[in-house]
Amino acid sequence: MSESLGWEAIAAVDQLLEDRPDKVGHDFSAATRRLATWRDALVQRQRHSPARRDNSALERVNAAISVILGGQFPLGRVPWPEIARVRQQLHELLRDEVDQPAAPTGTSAETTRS
Amino acid sequence: MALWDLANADCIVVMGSNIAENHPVAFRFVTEAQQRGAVVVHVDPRFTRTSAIADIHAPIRSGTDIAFLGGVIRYILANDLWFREFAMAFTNIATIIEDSYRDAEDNGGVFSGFDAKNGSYATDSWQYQGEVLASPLAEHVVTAEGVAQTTGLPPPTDPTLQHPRCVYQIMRHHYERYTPEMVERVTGCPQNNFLRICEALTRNSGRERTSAFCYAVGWTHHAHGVQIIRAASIIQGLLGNIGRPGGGMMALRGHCSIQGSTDIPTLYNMLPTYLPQPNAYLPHKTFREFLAAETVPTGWWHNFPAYMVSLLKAWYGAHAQPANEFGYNHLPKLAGDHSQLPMTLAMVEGVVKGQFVLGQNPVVGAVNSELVQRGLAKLDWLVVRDFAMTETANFWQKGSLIQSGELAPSDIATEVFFFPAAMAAEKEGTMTNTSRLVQWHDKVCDPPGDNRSELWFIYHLGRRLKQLYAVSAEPRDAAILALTWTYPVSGDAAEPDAAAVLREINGYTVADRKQVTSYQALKDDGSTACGGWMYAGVFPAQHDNRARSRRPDGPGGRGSHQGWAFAWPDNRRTLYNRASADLEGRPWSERKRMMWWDAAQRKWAGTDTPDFVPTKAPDMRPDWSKHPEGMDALGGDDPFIMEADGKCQLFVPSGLKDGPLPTHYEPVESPVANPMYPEQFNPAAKLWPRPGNAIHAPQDPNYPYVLTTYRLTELHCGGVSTRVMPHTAELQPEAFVEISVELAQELGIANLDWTVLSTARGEIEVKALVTQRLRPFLIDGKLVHEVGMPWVFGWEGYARGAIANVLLAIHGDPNTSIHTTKALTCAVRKGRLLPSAKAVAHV
Repeated sequence: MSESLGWEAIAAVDQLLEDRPDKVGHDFSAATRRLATWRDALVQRQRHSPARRDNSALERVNAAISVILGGQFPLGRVPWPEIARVRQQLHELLRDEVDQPAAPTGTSAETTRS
Repeated sequence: MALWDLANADCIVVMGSNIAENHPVAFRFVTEAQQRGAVVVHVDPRFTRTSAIADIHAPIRSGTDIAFLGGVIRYILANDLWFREFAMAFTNIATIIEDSYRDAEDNGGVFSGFDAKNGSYATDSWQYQGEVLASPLAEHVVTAEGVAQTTGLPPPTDPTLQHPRCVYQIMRHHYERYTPEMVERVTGCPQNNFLRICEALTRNSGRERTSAFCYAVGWTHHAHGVQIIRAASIIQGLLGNIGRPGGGMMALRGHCSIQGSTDIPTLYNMLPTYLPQPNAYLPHKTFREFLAAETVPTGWWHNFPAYMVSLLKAWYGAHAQPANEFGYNHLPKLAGDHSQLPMTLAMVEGVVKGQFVLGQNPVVGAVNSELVQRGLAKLDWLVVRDFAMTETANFWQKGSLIQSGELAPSDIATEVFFFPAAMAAEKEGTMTNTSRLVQWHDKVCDPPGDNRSELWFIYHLGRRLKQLYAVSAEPRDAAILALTWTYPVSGDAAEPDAAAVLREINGYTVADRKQVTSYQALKDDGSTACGGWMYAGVFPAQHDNRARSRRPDGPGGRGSHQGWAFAWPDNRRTLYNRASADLEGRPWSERKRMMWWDAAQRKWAGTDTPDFVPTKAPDMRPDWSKHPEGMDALGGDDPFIMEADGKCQLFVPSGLKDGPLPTHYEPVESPVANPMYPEQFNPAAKLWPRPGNAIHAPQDPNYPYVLTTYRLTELHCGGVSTRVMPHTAELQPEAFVEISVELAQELGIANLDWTVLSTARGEIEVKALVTQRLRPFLIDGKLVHEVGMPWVFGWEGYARGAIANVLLAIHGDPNTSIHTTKALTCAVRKGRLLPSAKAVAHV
């Protein structure tokens, strides 16, 4: 589940980099929301898989959220080069995830609330 | 300036404040000045109790303050009424600006350097010719290349003021169109009223007389709020009303230690006492790089490394060593704007998982209340601490969205922890507010039951976190483990010792743990620790708490009352007080004596602590052949020591994000087109339009009226503390909206009729108070109505009513990210909300 959410988040970041919206703000929402959803799924996976001690995926997605949020609410210029690097790192993260043996993922990724 | 120094003013202009009702204690000094003959002016859209006492009341349309103040600047310059000796010596009026500078007058309403794509400015063209004047605050560095630079020479000037790009000529050109006619056309203030104020201000400024401005959030809460304050500062610089008795800019701070919460900040972009927070996108990767980038070559801020190292020593103690850069990497780095408004939106996006709310009631006090509630509903957990139930703590049960039926409590999974808090008299500690006055208050009695102080909560939370992470080897937990957290506790509740915290903020020598007596003792080698350099001296010995001192000057005394509490820095009551003396160090006049150069003693003397190097003679000049740094680069005639060039900044080369000179832009929401520029509103304003936070277009016919909000004397701050008290609640029993007689007639509304106020953010119903205290304005030939509503009501307590902030939008000033509460647009109609659309329960 978290892998598909990851690809959705990367697609939203791709779209952001393609559009490079002139006015910051709401245009970043899709990427921010999808990354947050992915993050929540990773949290659930962590909580429901006590044996899984590797936090690196969660840490990397959290770091990505910081960069995207910094673009959504920038101080001065939007950090486009850093956002491009984030996309690259998220690709690498998903490749690493696929390379790892599957682990029990707990209940569900539906952690966002109404 | 000190509050009591207002009594020494010859003219007081209250603008952006209703001082009589919101700062009644401070207002006694205004009335004292008036009794001594001072002229009191109130510039405000509403006629309030301040207006009733004032000699002149000038109503202006909300949000047009810069047009008014720009008109005053033009009046001063055009009539050559500025205090020439003061301004020529102490301001940058003669400094020459870069060739590439283009003024908003000649550049379509924006200054040179504007990037329309990002809505931000590069400041290169605003600089002094051939130099870059760096701002000491990291967040103010708009461009990454904004590292401090200097040519090692004084800034270029033209003392004849003929150079077309000297500040004087730039200002004359910039404000040329701010005529009395234009002031009336933009603000609605009649010309004769405006001119009376200009005459009063200029007549009461100069060698023998001084004038003061008093302001509060009526200036700050705009998308161009910082520039409003700047405009008044320019007036005061031109008229010589800074650093002198009865002269200055009186920032009337909020009651609940608001000044303290910026000094020892709850702000995201500052470390204690205005040190910059490191930024991930600036050259701040290592401590060495950070200090190199942020240390200003000249002026007092050159001492930044000593303050920064001492802060890290106070926080991380033995874990802060030269080998680990004094723990610099424990500090989080800014990645963007993490202030309250963006973080509210981030909550709505689902990014934020939990929130602590201490000393706040954001469902009532934060703009766009329903969006705030939507954000709270997305959290996993919410901690609220207060001594009575607040709207923030029970939003899930009684909130606007629950009342309207949009959400049910069962839809909200946020786990709310409501902690009982101690009241002020049930705990000891300090309050820091107007005048930078740090005042200690003792505990009168124990709080009842499980109520605890904020200090207790934070201390024990930190202690438990340290226990939880004790075995962690994760780098991200290192900051918590390294933190010094050794405050003594006492009593059954294990209450931490607040005096111990203040001692740490004051600072001490590491080797023998002796209190430092002043910030001059702080070092950059790790031998001193200090939690906030500006507070050094508040606790200069183990048992000497100067904040607790209560010794006022008697009749015939110095009048600075330095024995009453502690004013940072260095118990100094008037900042930049070197400016109270002329170039040679003599008081500008006997009547306005404050500081003077004592040639026999070779030091500055006077009624206050000098805000200057005490032994620097007035005729000292920097030896530029030696490439001076720090204070050595400022002469004995450079009073504004926190500025890199020691001058009052009439024109600001660095440090502002929306232009070097204040310019009239309309509020983001306005019923009129900007009569002065093609740019409708501040082009650098922080806008975050999104569903639930739509912004009205200029002149939107659906929202034709100006809306302003304000407090009430009888209901304190967010209201809960006084709404739950019967004796204060009965004084203001329910919410209301003030509507002019003219608008009421137009809409068929009678006094006490129900009305519905609406914006694109929400709707509320509230009773009308039809009053002559508000009058319509004639703006550019069009009648504009303004309505006003107190924002202090909610659904808790005895005095209840609609939350005005349901109507407001989230957008911010580009410099501070502060919200706009004083000038928006709305619709008004007679009647009540449809049951399904009720936003607030009037129980």
